[in-house]
Amino acid sequence: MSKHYSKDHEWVEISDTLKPVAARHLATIGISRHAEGQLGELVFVELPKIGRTFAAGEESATIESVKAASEVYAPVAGEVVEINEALSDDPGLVNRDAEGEGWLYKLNLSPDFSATTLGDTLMTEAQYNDFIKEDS
Amino acid sequence: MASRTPLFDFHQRHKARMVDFADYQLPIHYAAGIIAEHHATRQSAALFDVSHMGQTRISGAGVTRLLAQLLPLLPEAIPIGAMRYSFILTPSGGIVDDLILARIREDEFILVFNASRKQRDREVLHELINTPEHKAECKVEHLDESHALLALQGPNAAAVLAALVAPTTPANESSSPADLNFMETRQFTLNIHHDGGGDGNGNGQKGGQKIPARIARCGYTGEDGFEISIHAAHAESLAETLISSGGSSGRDGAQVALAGLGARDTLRLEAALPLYGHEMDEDISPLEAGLTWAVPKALRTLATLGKGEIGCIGGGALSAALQNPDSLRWRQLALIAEDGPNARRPVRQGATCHKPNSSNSSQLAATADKTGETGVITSGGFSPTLNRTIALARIPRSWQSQPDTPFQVRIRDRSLPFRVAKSPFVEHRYRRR
Repeated sequence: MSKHYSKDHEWVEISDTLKPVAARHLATIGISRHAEGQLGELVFVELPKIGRTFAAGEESATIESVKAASEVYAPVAGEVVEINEALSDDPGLVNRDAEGEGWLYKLNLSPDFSATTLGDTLMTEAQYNDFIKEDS
Repeated sequence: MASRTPLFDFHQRHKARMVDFADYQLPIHYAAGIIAEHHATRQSAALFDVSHMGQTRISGAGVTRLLAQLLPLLPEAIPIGAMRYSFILTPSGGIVDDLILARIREDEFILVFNASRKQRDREVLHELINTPEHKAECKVEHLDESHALLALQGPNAAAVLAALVAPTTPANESSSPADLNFMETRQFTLNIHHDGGGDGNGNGQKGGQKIPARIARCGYTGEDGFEISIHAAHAESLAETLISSGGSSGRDGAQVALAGLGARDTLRLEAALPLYGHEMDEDISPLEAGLTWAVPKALRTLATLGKGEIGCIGGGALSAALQNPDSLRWRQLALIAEDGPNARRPVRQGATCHKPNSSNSSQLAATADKTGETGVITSGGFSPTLNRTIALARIPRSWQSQPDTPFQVRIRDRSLPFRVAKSPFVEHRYRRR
């Protein structure tokens, strides 16, 4: 499934997964290539604890480059079920592959989540590309 | 709108990411990024545009007398070609700016100051000069209005620069920048190719120019290196020539990388070099900022033994503090993050610094840095060489500060474990006789 982007430069990718009891929506979250480029080389990534829940727009992670710290806001609401362990020794992975291997964490979305509402608050890739062109 | 240095177009061509710094547009880094530029400086050589800094020439019959009133130094004792690190003080002994003074001739000196303070430095200088004693005798020229300043730093810097010295030089000039020792300066003639290229051995190409340049063996990285002052008209040609040097000479790794302000800061932090506005400001005495060594021993002895006052602005306060060190409030420390999950979590200026197991955090206000109850981080960041967070801190003078003494640095609701490090974090590699 394709990515959606927030105006704070996070991306979210929804996948369906069959958990033991019922179908669940899993959201993978990261920062965009554009954001990574703006920040420069990351030296530290602080990821949330597994089990933590976030509302959409809540501060969920912190990424630090050589020059500055930046907050990552949860683009959708959910519960943290997985974090990218590779980043604790290799925060540069976010720089090398922000929209792939450099993902930050995964959220279990609530069962009544509907993918069709994503477009209400988030942008498609095409919309995001226009958005960042205006920004620069 | 922030000013441009003579290398503005050069930076655009080389795809710099620009930032406004001290009212100038300068590269924070180029395509390689801060960490790569940092490593290139320590492993090979890197070129920095530092043309934003102040360069002021003072000359005339009374110049040493003037400078003795401006700085806590003995200018008449400085050999021609030698340089000194010093500072302009406030009347109460705080620091207006730190600077480098170079003696060019018997009656001619050059001062290099921080860009962020040069306006203030010049106000102080002009106040001093516009007195009957000095007015007629001293001439002041602000060279940064017409000259670029380039820093070439790293173990390969000397070889790169030596290759540019034109083979025929006037008899009274030194033959090579490689012969300079740390904190020495001389005038040279450089062989600069128009668009770079050449064989890197100082052999002029058709169209190559011979350009005068003042070269000082000093810098702000802890590495061997040079600062080159050259007329603005030739700055781009020199920069292009330098970055195309070395590669063709067959020496592996002898390339000159471009580096920006980001790497300049990570390098100076590893070298534990102070930065104005961080380790120093108008409320801090040099004796509280780890800079006692920069006051010549003869002046320190004079003051400590009560045999006289240092004669510069703020000299009275400095002398009193030298005589009575118990009146000083702070000392400067180097801190390194302990091993663990937070080893690379950055700490930045303003974070508070505490003895381990110190009292409840609710008693510690964020603005406690000058109350004497807590220490404060004056500079902090990531060390690419040591691959962890390092910091410089100001702590109450009475606190223990031997290497390995543990401290905690607080950011938000966390206490991060640090210990006192040997300073500098990365050994200096200056060329000394």
